[in-house]
Amino acid sequence: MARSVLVVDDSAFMRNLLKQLLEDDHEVVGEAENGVEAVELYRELDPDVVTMDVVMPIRNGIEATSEIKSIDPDSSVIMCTSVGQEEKMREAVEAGADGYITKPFQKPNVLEAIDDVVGVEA
Amino acid sequence: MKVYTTDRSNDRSEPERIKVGVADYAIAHAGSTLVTSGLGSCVGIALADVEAGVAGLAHAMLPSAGAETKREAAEDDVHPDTWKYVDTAVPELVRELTDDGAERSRIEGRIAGGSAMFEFESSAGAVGERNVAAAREALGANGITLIDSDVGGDYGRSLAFDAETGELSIRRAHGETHVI
Amino acid sequence: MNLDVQSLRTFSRLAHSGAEEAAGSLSTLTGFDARVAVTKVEMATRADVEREFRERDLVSVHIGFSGAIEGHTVLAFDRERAVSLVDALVPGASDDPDSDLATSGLKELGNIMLGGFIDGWADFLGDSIDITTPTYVELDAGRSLQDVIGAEGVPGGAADTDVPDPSGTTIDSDHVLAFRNHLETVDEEAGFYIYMLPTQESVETIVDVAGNAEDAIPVETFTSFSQMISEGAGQASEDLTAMTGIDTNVDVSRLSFVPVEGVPMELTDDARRGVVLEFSGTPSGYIAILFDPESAESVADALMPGMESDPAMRKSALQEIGNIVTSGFLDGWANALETTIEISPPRYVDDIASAIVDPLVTELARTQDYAFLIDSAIATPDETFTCDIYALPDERELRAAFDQLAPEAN
Repeated sequence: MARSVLVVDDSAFMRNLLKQLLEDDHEVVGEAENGVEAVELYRELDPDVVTMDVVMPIRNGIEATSEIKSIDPDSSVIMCTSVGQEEKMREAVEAGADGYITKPFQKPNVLEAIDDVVGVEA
Repeated sequence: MKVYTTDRSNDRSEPERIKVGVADYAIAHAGSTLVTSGLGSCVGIALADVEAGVAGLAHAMLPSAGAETKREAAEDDVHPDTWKYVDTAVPELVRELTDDGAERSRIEGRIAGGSAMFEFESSAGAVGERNVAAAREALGANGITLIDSDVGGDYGRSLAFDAETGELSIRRAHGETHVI
Repeated sequence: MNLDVQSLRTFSRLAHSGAEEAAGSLSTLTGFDARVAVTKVEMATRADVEREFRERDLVSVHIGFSGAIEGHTVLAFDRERAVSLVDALVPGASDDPDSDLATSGLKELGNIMLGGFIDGWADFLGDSIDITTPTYVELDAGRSLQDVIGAEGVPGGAADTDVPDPSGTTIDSDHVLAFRNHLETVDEEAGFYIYMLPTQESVETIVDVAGNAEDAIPVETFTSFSQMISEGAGQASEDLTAMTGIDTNVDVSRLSFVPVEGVPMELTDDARRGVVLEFSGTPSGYIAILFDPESAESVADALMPGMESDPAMRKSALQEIGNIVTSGFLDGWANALETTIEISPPRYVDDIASAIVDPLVTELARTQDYAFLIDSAIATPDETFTCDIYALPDERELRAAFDQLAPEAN
């Protein structure tokens, strides 16, 4: 079923790409360019899923994920990053991330990740 | 936390031209051409099962790992030098092809290169010639029929190998392109 | 700081697999079928890299990194390529290549490719490396790489420590190694370049993990050897000018460390004329002096002005040029190393460029997996001719020569 998604990435190109990729199956309800905006928009929109870039100005995705998880432990956050280092993945786990997609991703990866973290059923 | 990574193996269809580097190889299917450039003393080993529509090209530098000065062992898990030596490249190329649907008995072998462009004082001599001999021997040992070759001489060669027909085109800096 | 060959191998391997990762990302994102042609560890300074950018009119995306190691990575491609990339990434956006969406696409491409390039280094060190957000840079507007890097800085790192010397040039004390990866696409040779410029301290970090201290050579030795190569190329350039009466400059003069099989791949499939020579002493090795066909004709014309010359005479003229360039190139080495280097008679070649170098590399490959490649280019400002010099010293003997250059290291 369609989920509401908050897309967090400092790259306009990447936000666009994710929107296009998700439009048939889900609904992108908001876009944030950094970790601070991400937390604000999360409070405001309460989306089903957040796709979270890691390296962003002002506030990075790991910190933003920790905060979103402390606001709402049931939130679903999928890291979506070009960084594929094992240590960074460990940091993401500690921050509470539910999934980790490495860029460049393909549509099936992203859809599969969303289904896995929020479930296919309502 | 599950990690989702892109599987690049089925990203796209096979390109029309596939470049094979030095001490390297590639497999191609009907419709694609394997190319490699600048064979001097190096030897190109081109194997094709036309019926199965699969072909492979290796660009080897030296006859055999064992025959050369023992070097410091490489630290990689997968031995990276397989494609540098004729005697290790040939069986590996045959294995890759048979894994991809080729029948050993149907594989046709062609070789090109192994020239003697310079005679160096410091050299143990005739690496090109030894590369060719090693290729013939390795093909024989692996039950592959060598149907033609364009080897020796004192000039370089560049190769284009048509996976559909098994034809190997050999280009020189000067003179006609030769097809075997 | 000391460097050893084992560390250089590790560097080369990490850079190569990082570049393969980046090439895979490029293919996935844009559909361009890219592969890694050559991975080189260059004993270069940032100024050298910057010069290359400027001369080739490259546009680039920069990312700084810090943590386990610190420095900068750059993805560079030529201007025309940038347009086709934008088209592949953001269909339609290339109509306005300066638009935010167009540059955002390129920045994200750089982010993904360079991020993938760095991952392997972090995993090798078992530690994490932070990267900055990408910066899109065109160097044509009088901006130097240093302006850009200086402004962006390293995430959480110290400010750059370049010391301008009184002569106005910059002593780049911070970067001594550059990792240069050439990615080529099937359709054309011109492609993508990934550079990694770690700080000296970071090089040390990796040497500590990967290296063999007994074998180590002070990094200053590489610098003085690079200097020696530049001087050799300068002498060769002067000799060429004296012979031909045409002004020449040294365009490129580099010392790099490459897997042996990478050397022929540095050259193209086009025809080249020139000479191949063998040199022996400390060090021994091979040298190729190559001209493209037009350059070879121009040089022969310049040597025999107004003369009706048959092909044999022109060939002989090129051989003589090869001899003189080689001597100019190597004499300085012999003097600096306080030794003699014997040079064999020049063998004339007219063949496929990569095939000319192949037998030289094959000889070295019998005893070594990696080679020190010295490549220089001497050109006339008006492009009458270009002369490429490739020298391949025997690795072990070169190490002996390094010891001679830095006796205090023993």
